[in-house]
Amino acid sequence: MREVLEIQNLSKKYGKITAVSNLNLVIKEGDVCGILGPNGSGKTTSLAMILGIVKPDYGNYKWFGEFSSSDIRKKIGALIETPNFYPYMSLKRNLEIVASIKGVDYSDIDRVLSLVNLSERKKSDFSTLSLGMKQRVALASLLLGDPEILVLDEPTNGLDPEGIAEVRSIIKQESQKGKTIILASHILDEVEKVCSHVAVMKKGVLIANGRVNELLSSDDQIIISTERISDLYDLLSRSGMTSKIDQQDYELILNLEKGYTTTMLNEFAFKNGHVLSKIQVNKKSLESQFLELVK
Amino acid sequence: MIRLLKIELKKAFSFNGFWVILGIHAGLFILVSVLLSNISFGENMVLGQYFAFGEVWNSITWLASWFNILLGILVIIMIGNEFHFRTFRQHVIDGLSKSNVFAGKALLIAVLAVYGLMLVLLSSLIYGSIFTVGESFELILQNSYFLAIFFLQALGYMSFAMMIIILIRNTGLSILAFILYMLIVESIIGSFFHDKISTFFPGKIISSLTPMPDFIQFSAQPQMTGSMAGAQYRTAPSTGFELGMTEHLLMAGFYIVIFWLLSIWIVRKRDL
Repeated sequence: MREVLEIQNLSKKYGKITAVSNLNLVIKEGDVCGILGPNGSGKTTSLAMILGIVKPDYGNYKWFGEFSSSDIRKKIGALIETPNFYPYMSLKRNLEIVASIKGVDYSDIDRVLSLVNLSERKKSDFSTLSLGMKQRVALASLLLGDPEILVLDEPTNGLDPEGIAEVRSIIKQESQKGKTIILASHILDEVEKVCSHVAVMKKGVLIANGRVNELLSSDDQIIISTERISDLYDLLSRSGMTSKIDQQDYELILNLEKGYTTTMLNEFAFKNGHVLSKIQVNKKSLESQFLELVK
Repeated sequence: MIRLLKIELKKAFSFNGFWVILGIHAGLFILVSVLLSNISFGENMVLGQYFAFGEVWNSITWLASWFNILLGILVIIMIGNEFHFRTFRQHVIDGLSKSNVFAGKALLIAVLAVYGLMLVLLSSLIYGSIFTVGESFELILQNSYFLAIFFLQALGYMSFAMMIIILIRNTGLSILAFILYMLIVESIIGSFFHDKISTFFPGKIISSLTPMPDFIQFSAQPQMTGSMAGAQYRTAPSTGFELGMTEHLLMAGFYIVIFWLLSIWIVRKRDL
């Protein structure tokens, strides 16, 4: 997979406040990368920098191996924070302006409006739309010209449950087409449901980065029990297989080191004369993992 | 460039405020010029004679210059909208460069200056036709260079307005700053300097590009006679310091270039 975005040491300060500090991140073609972080963690500033609207103090970034240019940005559909359109213009006129900037044929406007179920409102002024509809117009605008990359900052903000489901469905459809998607959100469930990769930021610093399933499985809690529990406790403590092990009554509660699986744990116990009567894996949700990371 | 112009025109034509201000601009200009051309001070002083060919270009451009401030306000509102609705930011995200964003607004200013020019041209031709008698029609083109001077002046007002809104980013404050500077602040600052220096202030250079026509000077200072048109070109008769036309035009051009360069520098330097 070729690299779509490479960020190197990107940093931005506002006065004495560090918004983003030495951000390094690589996003490959087809990745659906969620950028997670509490409010003020630097997600939006990071996206604003890679889209050319905020100048980094230090560091650089490359799209498709090239330094950013307006031509490259035309290949990206992006929504940062709120939808930005002219309130006194109709949806069609607003989208015509975006299409002109991107060099996209006006005929594509009907396609994207129908994708977000707003075809019937295309002659309505933007100011007459509800918040959810405005968000959907923004989605329509970023889909104009079928861009290779989508960058979305809190795309479900202000949407009702039906709207949220629609947006997720659009993101999933686009990712199934092989598009690269960068999605900043503080809604963990959203990221867990649609993203293949996740980057977690805290106070402008990237504190975790990887595939969602790897990030979650690395901290799976395993509960096992056997007849001679204390012997197995000693054995596992010396084995190097566990990162954390604790005995509670007739059970061992442990975390495996990276690279070890529950099957390997079972085999190890069996080879050493222990038959496990219970193996329970407690999968961590992204939410609990995230809260642990950012606390 | 054509693509940028089309985008700007689409934005402008869809904005009611654009038509309202242009309507006020044209309406006020026509109203004042009609009133002025019909004023007479006895048999020897009928202002209509200054609207005949030969004099009309100076009279009309001077009159129209007062309304350039409205075009400046329109530029502030149009650019202010972009900051208010965060559409400048979105345009850059969508694929315009910051230079394109600036170029779009520069093109809008040029279009508005052409509109002002057309208004002045048509008015001058109409008034000239009405008030010219006999063989004076041969004088149609005499002093028509005032049109080019007016065009430069309109560009100057609007470029200054553009720089202010790009700097301040707030429509209300920018309109206030623009009007206060052009009408009051520069005069106050100028009063601390010798005329030889204050004559070169940007507001003064731009606003005095179209010289006061004879009839105004005549009514203000009856002892002054003689034709201004084509004979002399003065910056501002009241200052006592005179610039030649070429120097004056060069200074105005210099300021316009400075306003544009500062505007583009601010756009490029700042985050959106």
